Amino acid sequence: MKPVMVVGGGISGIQAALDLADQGIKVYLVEKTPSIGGRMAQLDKTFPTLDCSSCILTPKMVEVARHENIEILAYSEVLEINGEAGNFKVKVRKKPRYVDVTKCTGCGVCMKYCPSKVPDEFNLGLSERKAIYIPFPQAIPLKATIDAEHCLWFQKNICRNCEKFCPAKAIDYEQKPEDIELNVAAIIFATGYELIADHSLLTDQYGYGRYANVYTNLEFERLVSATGPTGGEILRRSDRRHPKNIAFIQCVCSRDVRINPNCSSICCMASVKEAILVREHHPDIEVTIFYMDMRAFGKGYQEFYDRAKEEFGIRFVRSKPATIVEDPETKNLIIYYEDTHTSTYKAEEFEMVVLAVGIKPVVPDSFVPVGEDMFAQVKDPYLDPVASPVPGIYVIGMLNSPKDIPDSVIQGSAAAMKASILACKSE
Amino acid sequence: MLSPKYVVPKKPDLSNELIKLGGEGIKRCYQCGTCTAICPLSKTQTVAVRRMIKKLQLGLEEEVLGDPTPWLCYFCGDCNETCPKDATPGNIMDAIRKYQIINYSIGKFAKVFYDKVYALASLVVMTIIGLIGMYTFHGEMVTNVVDIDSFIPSEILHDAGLVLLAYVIIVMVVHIANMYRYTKRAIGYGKSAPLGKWVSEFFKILIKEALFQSRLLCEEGRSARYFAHIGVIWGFILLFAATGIHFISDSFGLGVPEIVPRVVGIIGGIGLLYGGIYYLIRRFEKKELYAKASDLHDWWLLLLALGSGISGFLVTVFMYANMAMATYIFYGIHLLFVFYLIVSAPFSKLVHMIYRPFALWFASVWEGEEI
Repeated sequence: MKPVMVVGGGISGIQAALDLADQGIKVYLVEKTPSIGGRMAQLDKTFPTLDCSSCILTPKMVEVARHENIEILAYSEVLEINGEAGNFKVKVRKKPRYVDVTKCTGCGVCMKYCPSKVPDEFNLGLSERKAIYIPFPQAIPLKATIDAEHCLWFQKNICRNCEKFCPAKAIDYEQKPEDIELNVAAIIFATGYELIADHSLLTDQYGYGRYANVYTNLEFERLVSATGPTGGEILRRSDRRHPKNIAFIQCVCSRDVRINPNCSSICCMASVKEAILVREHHPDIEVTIFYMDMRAFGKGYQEFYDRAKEEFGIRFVRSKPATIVEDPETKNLIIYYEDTHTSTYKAEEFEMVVLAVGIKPVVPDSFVPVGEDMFAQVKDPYLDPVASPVPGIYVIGMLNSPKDIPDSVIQGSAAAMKASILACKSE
Repeated sequence: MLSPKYVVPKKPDLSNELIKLGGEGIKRCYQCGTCTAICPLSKTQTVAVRRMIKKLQLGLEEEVLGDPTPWLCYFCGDCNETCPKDATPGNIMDAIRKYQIINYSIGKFAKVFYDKVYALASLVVMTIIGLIGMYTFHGEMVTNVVDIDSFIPSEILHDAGLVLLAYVIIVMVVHIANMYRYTKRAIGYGKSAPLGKWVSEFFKILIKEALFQSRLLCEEGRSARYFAHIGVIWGFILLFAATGIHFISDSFGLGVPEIVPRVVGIIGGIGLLYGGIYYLIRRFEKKELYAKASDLHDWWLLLLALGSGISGFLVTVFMYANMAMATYIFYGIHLLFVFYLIVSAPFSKLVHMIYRPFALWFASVWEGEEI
């Protein structure tokens, strides 16, 4: 029985890996970043139950780490795939961490003494990390990684502080990329998504990047998170104080034919959740959500939306704001919009704006065919919704189509079952 | 707001009709309201762009016909640029203007000028009538010196002009009455305004909007378009004034020197030509948002305005060059173009010159919009 490869260590990939491994099938879990966990690790709470995201994710991550049938290939990328269903030859590059993972204990002393500061990807640039870093405290594997692009030793041949202070003597500047070839029966791609945060519409129309107090929803998720840069305090970028009111704008860079016609399917509930979190953290902050259609389609979602309105007093305005203008003195933001329920044009001032930015999949496009909608193609959207048209390759999670955590988990299990059939048939 | 007084009859096919008139994005609109909020006019008054599209989607024909909103719009194109559904609200406003022009016109006769075949046929018919008229009434063609007056005697021209003026006034009174009827029902129902307000608003709009186009100027970066439009408007006004001076002077024997109407006419002609050519270039360039999709009614007005302007200029040139035959030919062409322009005026795009101030007037009186 051949192993199965799962590419992408987010919640969808984790679920697929666990379901395969529990059947006794060997799994290689390939992850591009230093740690598995994916987007869900960045979230503070989950909708509609407001469960702590880390608290339900990290036990699964630990399970993956401890599973005898799962081999995590973190900080690695798939280079090449040859062969066919049941017998793929996959070339994987293990990028050099410059840290000997067999020695590193994850104590974090190196991070303390590293002088080079870099915007922290995990906190979406809201805070800084060091050039040697562990992305977040619950990282799996809990090993340090040197970011050679910002490391003083690699850039200027100075420093070597981490080597000096590492109690385990785990630093190894001589590491080279290591290519390995693996023979697997099936490959499951679960490469996830990123925000469409680079479009000019964001900057031109909504001033993201120009105005200090305009955030994307993922940034806000970190801001409101207890493990985030402010420890869950909602503080404005411009003056580090609590805003009096916050506006959420839905469907930014999504459902927009100029950029991305798709509905991202998560932002309605994500914004409702974030709005509720604001009211829970600071009941005096007023929250307004500008929406066009509230898509509360999942189990418990409609109730969640109703609670937001009735229990938490969140104001919903049916409108897509046209522009945001910053008051140069106060750094407050004036939103120009038409309330479409009353047909009135308004200019309203907010102290913070959160944009529910649309998503695009991270597509491994040399390995899976991509549809016109930017997402990975599937063989049959009704009867084989996780299979790529390429036999033996499966596409799940956000790569497959926009979806929330429960649906991603479902697809993880579904693809695990499909892949296990191939694994069992193989010799 | 939709008027509450009676059940509004619905016309399910309304949006399809408007799509044919150029509002092709109507069904794409998902009512987000970006167009209303981005509209530069919204800052000072209610410009219900989104609501207008909703009325179309719902098939509220009477509400659409009675809404002055499309006439507030001067098609800057900001809404087209920001619309997330590419529903082109600017073009929809334009389509509604056409729809209103058609429906305000007697027997919906304006339809003729929005269909290529009928429009061409109407040109042929008008040409035949014009030629017969000129053939019947023309006098002696003196070839050694230019003598326009004996080619087509000015008394006959004046009589024809009076007939046409009467035609335009009568037709326009009917059209404006239709507009008033629809608008009253949609936005003015049960509202009454003192006469003083009617009068004061009338003059305010006449001066600020009709004569000086202040709203078109208020947008920065669009002054070129403003001056072109001013050129066209004042071109028409001065040319009309020149004709009037000539006519009054002749009829009452005031003996105003010939040079006065001529100079006024030439200045007007230059304005008309400048504006006309500016718009012609823009419409060929298709860069400016308002000029991206030109259709028959845009070309019709441009063609006739430029045709009358250019032929008129050539007449003047040939007259001073003492080229008798050329002068007469171009004079004939010039008269034909003017004839087309006047006959089609109450039905063509040119009628916006009347409808727009009236729409602004009704809106300001009944809805209290600040102009």
